[in-house]
Amino acid sequence: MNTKMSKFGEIIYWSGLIIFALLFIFPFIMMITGSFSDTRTIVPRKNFWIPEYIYYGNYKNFFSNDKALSWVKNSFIYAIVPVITGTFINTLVGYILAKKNFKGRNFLFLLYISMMLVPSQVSLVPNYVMYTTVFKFTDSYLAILVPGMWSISNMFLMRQYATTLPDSIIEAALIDGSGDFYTFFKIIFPMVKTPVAVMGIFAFLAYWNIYLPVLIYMNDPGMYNLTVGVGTMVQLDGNYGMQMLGAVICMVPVFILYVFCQRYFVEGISLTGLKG
Amino acid sequence: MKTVIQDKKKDKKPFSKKLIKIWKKNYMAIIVLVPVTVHFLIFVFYPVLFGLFTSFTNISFRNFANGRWRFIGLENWIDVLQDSNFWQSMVVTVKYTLLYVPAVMVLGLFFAYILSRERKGIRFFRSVFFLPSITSGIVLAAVWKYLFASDEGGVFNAIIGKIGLGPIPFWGDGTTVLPILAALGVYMGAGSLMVYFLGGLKGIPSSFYESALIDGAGKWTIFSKITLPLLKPTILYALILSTIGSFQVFDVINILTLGGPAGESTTIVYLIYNNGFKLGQLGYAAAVSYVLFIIIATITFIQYRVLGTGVSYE
Repeated sequence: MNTKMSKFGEIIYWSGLIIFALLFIFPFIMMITGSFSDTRTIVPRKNFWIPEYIYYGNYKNFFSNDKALSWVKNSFIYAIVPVITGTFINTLVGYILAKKNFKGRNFLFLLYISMMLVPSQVSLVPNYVMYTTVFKFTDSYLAILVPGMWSISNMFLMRQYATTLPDSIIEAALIDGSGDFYTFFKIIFPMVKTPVAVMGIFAFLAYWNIYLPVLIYMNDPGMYNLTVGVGTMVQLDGNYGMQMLGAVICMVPVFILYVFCQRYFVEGISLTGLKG
Repeated sequence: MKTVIQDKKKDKKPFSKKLIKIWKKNYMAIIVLVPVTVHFLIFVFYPVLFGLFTSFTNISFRNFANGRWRFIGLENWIDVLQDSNFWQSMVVTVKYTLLYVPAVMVLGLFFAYILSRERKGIRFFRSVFFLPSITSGIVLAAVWKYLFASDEGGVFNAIIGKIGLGPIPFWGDGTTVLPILAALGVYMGAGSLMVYFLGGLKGIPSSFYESALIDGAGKWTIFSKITLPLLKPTILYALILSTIGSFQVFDVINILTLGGPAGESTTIVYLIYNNGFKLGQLGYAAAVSYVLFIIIATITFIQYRVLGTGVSYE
């Protein structure tokens, strides 16, 4: 790895990288220019990569549409609530399973993580039957937020991290006479900031991009999030300008998060493996 | 004698005191884990069992609300195994996997290898290649539809049109649909594999490379004789995970092709969705989802068997 490249090698290396990078950025550029294109100028196109004039009509249409605005609101509700509940529950459960000794701890832990082997598609039919008949979750935020209160994979991540915490600190705090919960929130929680951030970002991404559950449980288009709303737009009509605009709106929060928290995305992949 | 009796007396503390002692020691675990476990049993554990049960019933959109569904034994499972649609979806999924997995593995490893050295500007390229991995599949599917649209509004057909070639019906034919979908999968997956392989490459001690350089080994020799063998556990793990992921592909297919044309992009999960939630055959869909479970469990089992013989750097 520490070999030096020749001048010629350097040129090949960097130009190759730039070509690949342009290929990878190209779809995003088309997305942005497409969102500023008047649909009438897209078909047929004289100029494929920049619109003939910058057209704000798609943005006007989107932001004056109540249904589209409710998709944005719903996307935030579906994504932020699981981040908040998950942060507390996953961290608490992970910490307890790592550091507290009680009968049945290992059994409980194995029971939880054995469910990580089951693909989520297995629960589609039974959940649909339960949620529509017993719980009446149809067209309700609860269909997403109640099952999403915590996550086994994120709990597992916390538990693995918590086992590396030194016992002496916890014992010292307990000898000082502070209670378990006090110790957890005042001493443990500040020590696990990195995995909490990783977990929060991963939960946000997973729930911001959630698709199939929303598609199945929400019959009212006013309950869709952006992914299902934009997805339906793409399925139904040929208005590429509007579709690209929907894609841009859906992308913006993720992109902002990515720019500011890039370190955690990378750490998350190395901590947890890959996304399914 | 006396001491034994005393010991027995100590053991016979009142039950309430024992409870208090247990509570004092474990109150945190009890307060947190009891509700969490109840939630787990209702929303995670029970559905898996109930799903298996529904696969043995004739539950469907017509009868699930009034509860008039009944046990029909192995009928759904036999239906699945005799259904040509199911076997077609298996073939489609395997074809997709064969297109997707080798390409995404090679590209991810290639990106990791050329970006493994910390140099000025390298971080920017890592971020660019990783960006599609965090973007919603729906967003990228929307862009893909726009790029590959069959009419002149599509970007590629507009480009081809400029040099006088007719529009290519990208979505009209089974031979083009799967490669385009797999290309989207590779575009989305290469970045996260790259980050994963970067971690693996970092774990290889630099002394290995140094001694190879002293021996006068070339770049290719170092890559094939040192890097690849030492990366084997990472590669195998990534291979299994991408295979599992490609068996579960759904979102982009539901947006782009609806399983068409003529079922040529109907993957297993799309079959589950279509038969279960569009046609309403919930029992049949439950049986298919269990078949998928068995396939994925087999892949995972192989993973553990193969990874059991890992490589250590000592």
